[in-house]
Amino acid sequence: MTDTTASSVAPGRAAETPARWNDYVALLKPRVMSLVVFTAFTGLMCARAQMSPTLAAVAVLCIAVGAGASGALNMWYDADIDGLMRRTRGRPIPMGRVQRGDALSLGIFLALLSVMLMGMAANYLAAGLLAFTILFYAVVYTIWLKRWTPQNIVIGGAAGALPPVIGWAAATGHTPLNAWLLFAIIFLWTPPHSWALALYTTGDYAKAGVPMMPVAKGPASTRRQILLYSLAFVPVAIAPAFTGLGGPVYLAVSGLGGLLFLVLAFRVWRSHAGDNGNEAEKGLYGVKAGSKDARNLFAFSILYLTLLFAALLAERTLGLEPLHLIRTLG
Amino acid sequence: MAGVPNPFGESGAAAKARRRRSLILALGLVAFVVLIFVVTIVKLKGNVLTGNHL
Repeated sequence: MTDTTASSVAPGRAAETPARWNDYVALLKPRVMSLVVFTAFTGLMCARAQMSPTLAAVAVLCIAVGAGASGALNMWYDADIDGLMRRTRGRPIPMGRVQRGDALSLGIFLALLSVMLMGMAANYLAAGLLAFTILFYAVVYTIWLKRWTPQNIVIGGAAGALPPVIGWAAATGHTPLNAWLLFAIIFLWTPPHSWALALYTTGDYAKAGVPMMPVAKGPASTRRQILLYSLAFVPVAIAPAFTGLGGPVYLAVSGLGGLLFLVLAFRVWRSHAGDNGNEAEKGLYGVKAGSKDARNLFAFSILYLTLLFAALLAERTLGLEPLHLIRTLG
Repeated sequence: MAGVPNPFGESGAAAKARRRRSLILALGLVAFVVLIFVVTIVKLKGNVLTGNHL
């Protein structure tokens, strides 16, 4: 468990720098974890089930810990390429503060703990879905897809899309179509979101040998696919207002936001984002003029997804009845 | 403890960081035990109220 390699330690950094407890917290990717908790909690609330608040809190905690375990396993495996990219080279393993084996141990321990506790506190369906999500992210995405195919984030996005389904399953013990609609929203959101970022961080991915779409197929193909995925994503994002899941607030937020999302995706398609190669030198989010449209779409995509789930959560909390424009699927 | 050589040959900063990690780990284990206890009680209560224990 002490196999820190030369490749995982940034040049000039002492490998024996003592690890602080917050280095282990950083291994769990707390920012990703917060988004996972938010979507999972929304899924749990949308299920409209009678559940003990204590058990609901424990279920959400399990999902958070499971997400953290996935993050630790990802950092364990990707330590070599993390040290090559600006966005990731400050992580604890490339900085030499945490050893790879420790990240692996932490990831496996937290994965087992979260799945077992979920089975105990909620039900075996939720525990099984959580176990599948962790395995899918760590093995299918991180180990297999990420370095092999430009479709890595398309297929791997399933792992990030599952938390609301797990939340729903934890509350009810089953997963109706409306739960899978939440899955579809995040699943289709992932490609335009990730590729917009990749368009202006192409140099980093190329240097690390990660075949992100702009690296493997070129910026023009990526911009076209961003537009196509956006055209598929926005109707799905609006769909909950028609299936007995979202109410009038959701319809307004998803409709107006979706329109803006499409405008931004269209502008990316018409732009030269990614054509200039490497990103600007000053800061991760400092971009060259041609790539500003990609940065705008990336930033708005985060806001839009947050607003979609916040609208569902707000409606549920305020007791607003969902619209039944087609029929209830939940 | 001043003057006592560190048995692991660590620097002062490393020993301090290790002690802090150990403390966090101990607190985490206590929290886990409490969590399991609370979940057990809540599940037990729910099953008793619904008659699932019979």
